[in-house]
Amino acid sequence: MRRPNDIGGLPAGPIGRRGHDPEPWERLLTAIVSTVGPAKAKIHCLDEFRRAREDLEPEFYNSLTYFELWTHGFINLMQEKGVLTREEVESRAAEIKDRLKRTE
Amino acid sequence: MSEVVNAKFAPGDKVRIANANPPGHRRVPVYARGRPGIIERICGAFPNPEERAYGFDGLPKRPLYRVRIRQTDIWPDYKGSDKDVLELEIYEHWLEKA
Repeated sequence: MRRPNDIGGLPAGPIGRRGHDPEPWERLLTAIVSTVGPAKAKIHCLDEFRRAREDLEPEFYNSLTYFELWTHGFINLMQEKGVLTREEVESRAAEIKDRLKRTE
Repeated sequence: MSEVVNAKFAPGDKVRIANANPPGHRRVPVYARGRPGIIERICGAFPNPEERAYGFDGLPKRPLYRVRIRQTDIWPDYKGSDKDVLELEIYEHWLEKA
């Protein structure tokens, strides 16, 4: 079965080769994934993290940027492991957005 | 390198990558499945990532090989030299003797 990450040889447009600096949230996410996983707590391994990203619905997968894929794969994996729930993440994100809006 | 006990293949052996289509996390891209190749080297033995992807320990370790495949055997419309090759690292359980 071809999973959404396995696109070698499929028709595609040109590949954008322009580099860009990581956003602060992307750096933070990288640190969290690594600390919770192989570098420290070992709650997950990189093979599981890859699998969790590949498990996303293909249409959803293809709508996301690289670090958005990380975000959703990681949330699902942490939910699977019983560490947190998607609802907890979303309600916390809503709180933060709300606070930012009030301080603008 | 992790010691390899009882490797089924040796450098220079002709192999074929399994033309299998199992669900789940797999480490062989679809374009390489069913293609012929040659063992370029034994890379070592490692826990099976296809098991580790689901929380298992992936033991016993599986031999991992670097497999050399001709580009013209992968892409029917390949425009480059027929000497061009692609090397992929593939676990033993994906390889058959050719």
